[in-house]
Amino acid sequence: MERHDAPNGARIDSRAGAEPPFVFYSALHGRRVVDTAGVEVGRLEDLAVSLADAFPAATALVARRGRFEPFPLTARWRDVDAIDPDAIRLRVRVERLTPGRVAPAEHELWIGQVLLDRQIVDTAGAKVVRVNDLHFLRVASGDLHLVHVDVGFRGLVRRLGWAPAIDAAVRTVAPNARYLQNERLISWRYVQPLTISGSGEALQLKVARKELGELHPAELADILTELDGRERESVFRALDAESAAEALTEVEPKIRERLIVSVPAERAADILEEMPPDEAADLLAALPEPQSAELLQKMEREDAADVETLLRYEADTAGGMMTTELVALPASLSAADALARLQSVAGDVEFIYYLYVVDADQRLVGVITIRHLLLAAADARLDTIMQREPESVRPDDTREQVAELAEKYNLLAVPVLDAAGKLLGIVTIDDVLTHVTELAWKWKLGRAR
Amino acid sequence: MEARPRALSRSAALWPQIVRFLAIMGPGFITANVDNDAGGITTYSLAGARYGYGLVWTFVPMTIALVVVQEMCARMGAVTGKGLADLIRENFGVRVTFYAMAMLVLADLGNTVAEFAGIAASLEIFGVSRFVTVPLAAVFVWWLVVYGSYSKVEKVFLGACVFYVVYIASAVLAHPGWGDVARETLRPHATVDAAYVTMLVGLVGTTIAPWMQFYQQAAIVEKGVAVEDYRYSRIDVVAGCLFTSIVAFFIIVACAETLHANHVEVETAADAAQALRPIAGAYCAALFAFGLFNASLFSASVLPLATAYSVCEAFGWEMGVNKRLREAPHFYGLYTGLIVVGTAIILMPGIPLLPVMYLSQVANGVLLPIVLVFMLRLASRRDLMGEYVNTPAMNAVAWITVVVMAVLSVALVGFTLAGQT
Repeated sequence: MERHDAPNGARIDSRAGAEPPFVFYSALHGRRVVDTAGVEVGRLEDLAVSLADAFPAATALVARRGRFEPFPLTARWRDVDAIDPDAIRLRVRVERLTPGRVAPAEHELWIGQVLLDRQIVDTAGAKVVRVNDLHFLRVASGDLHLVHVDVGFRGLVRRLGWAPAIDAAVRTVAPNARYLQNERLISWRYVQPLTISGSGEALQLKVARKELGELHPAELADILTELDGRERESVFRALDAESAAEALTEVEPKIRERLIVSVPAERAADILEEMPPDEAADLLAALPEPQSAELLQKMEREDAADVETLLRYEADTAGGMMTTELVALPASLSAADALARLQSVAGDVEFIYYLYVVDADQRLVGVITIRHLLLAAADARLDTIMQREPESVRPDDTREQVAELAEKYNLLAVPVLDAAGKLLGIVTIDDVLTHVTELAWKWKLGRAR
Repeated sequence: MEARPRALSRSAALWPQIVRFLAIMGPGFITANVDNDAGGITTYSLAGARYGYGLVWTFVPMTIALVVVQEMCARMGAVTGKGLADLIRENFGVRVTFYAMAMLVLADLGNTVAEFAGIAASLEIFGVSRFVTVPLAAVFVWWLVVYGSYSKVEKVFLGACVFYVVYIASAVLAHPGWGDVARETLRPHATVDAAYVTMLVGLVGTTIAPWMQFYQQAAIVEKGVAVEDYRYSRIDVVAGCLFTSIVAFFIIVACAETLHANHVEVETAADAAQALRPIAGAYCAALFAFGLFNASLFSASVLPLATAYSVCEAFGWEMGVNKRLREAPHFYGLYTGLIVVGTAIILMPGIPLLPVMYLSQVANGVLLPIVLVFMLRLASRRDLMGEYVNTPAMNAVAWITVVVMAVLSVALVGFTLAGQT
């Protein structure tokens, strides 16, 4: 995944004798920092960068004399004159530097505290990875921009200081070894840092970058699962309600319960509203009573009513699995009108591939697939094209019974009817499938670490 | 609000406190039982046989240190939600982490060898060759974790740990003078010679082993113990530590009364089995073989896996038994490598088993102070731990442990260099 991205309009520094424009942080770390009089200030210990830029520019550096020297000095980047191979030269005297490590501004971060050795999300590869090194670009103006993070094995070797020896050894044995070319660099554009500050309480991600919200919910769920507790909550809090809801439906129940209680109740209610009612009901049912009651109360009345209906049924039954979001239409409607109705609700309803035809008492009389509707004449009444007496289940039927029926008749969703034949909701195949695959995986993977 | 059967069933649960504890229980107790592994049983047997009650006094300070150390890990796991290797990498940088992990792999390789040695030794009591048992056990362990259902088998292993009770019974039936035992336990006394110090380092090294800290913290994180529920985890951890120490103590008592009293030098597993004669009579060898076999197999399943997890966590490699081989090559490579190399070492001709197990415990004793220093610095950081930061009393106990272990380790290396062991 080698991509070299340069900040727009950047001109590459080509002064004679200067280092190549790209430089790894591992090469800068520990380099001598000297002031105008040639006095050694210390060795480079950390760099601050500004997130305000698309490719963060260095804004400050910290120099320290020795590992145990208690008083580091901070220099602003504008005071850096040149980065020479043997030293970083400042254009001010040592007296002008700020004692201590300066707290980063709102949009700044110290890379040693937040990026280096930490986990990040690679939104291009949808994976959680650890940062081994950072790749900077020097532009003619003297600015240093963070362009890539290095997550590869070579980065690790470089940080350990073994790169020359190992490279020489590998080159001797196999001059064309893939190892020598195999940098794993991720463009900063696809990097989601997980912490903004290194300290415990402030460990909060303020904004999720756009790319994170655009991941497939299943990938986002995988990422949340892979992250450690605090970082997981930090990322979750930073997601918008819709992405958060989508991700919640995909993560395993234990994590999902922890996540929903990790956000304030108001926000948790917003997220629950975005979830399909059956998933929201499952989640609420798993929470302790006072908590679920509070969340229900904070939800919009309409969404809360749907969820409450579902909460009446046992989790493992058709009633517990069903969703009340479905397309139900009167038999007298024409195909064209039905299509128009379908279009108007398609944005809100999870499952639109079957249209359920009901009578005045909401009793189910037939079902039409979206395919049949599209192929039907525009003026055909629904009761002339529908399939009559569709297969259905009762709310207290088990998951296995639903699965059997769906399998036997190749259904994507199974309607759930009460004793009077009234349509209560539908169980979609994905809910049944989760259970079936879970059984298979549990058998294979049911193990502790 | 309408009736909500699903929610009701939960809130109506009896003794929610106990339910909560049972849900969280596990990591501490499992760690404790894996701790009483082949190396542990061997070291305790040797200590009891060679020195009688000369080393039982160590159990008082050792148990306190064990509780403090393990509790610290559990707390860090619950508060930060991160594993120990992860925290070390993030806070001490890549170089330190690399060398620490290299040492951990080495020490755990020694431990794994010890587990396979335990398997070999236990079944050789029945006359089955190690060339049959060890490869079979290696394949079984590997298959169990990669394809099998480890969590179910774990319960079998745990159940079989009831075996340790026979040591307690055996010790009681040997009618030791309890007054003397108590006096020896409460009276610290040491001899300064190479063999005694080596035994002491081995004893502490097997009871407080570096892998335990990594494993327990990972288990707490994996279990997802919330900070609010941490107090239940603490009970689990402390109970586990006490269990380990009590079992170890009675192994020494049993060995002191049977082996030391009769001047038996323990050279093979069959010798060590004599400690169970008071309770099992002629069947003592079979009983000992069963216990050693179970302990070895249990730990052999956990150790290489825990090591692979720690290393991959530190370096950010994909890990987990639910990943495919191609997705997590480092993880599977390390895990398989530890088992294969461990097996190979055991099968090398002319390797005496008991000394191998014993030496691996000594290696642990040397690595321990280093890991402890990392832990102490992490657990004392308020920015990381918040209100759960170490108290000065905990720090004092932990620093004393570090200093004592460091002194013992240096003494051991000194004696070895001087050629006295």
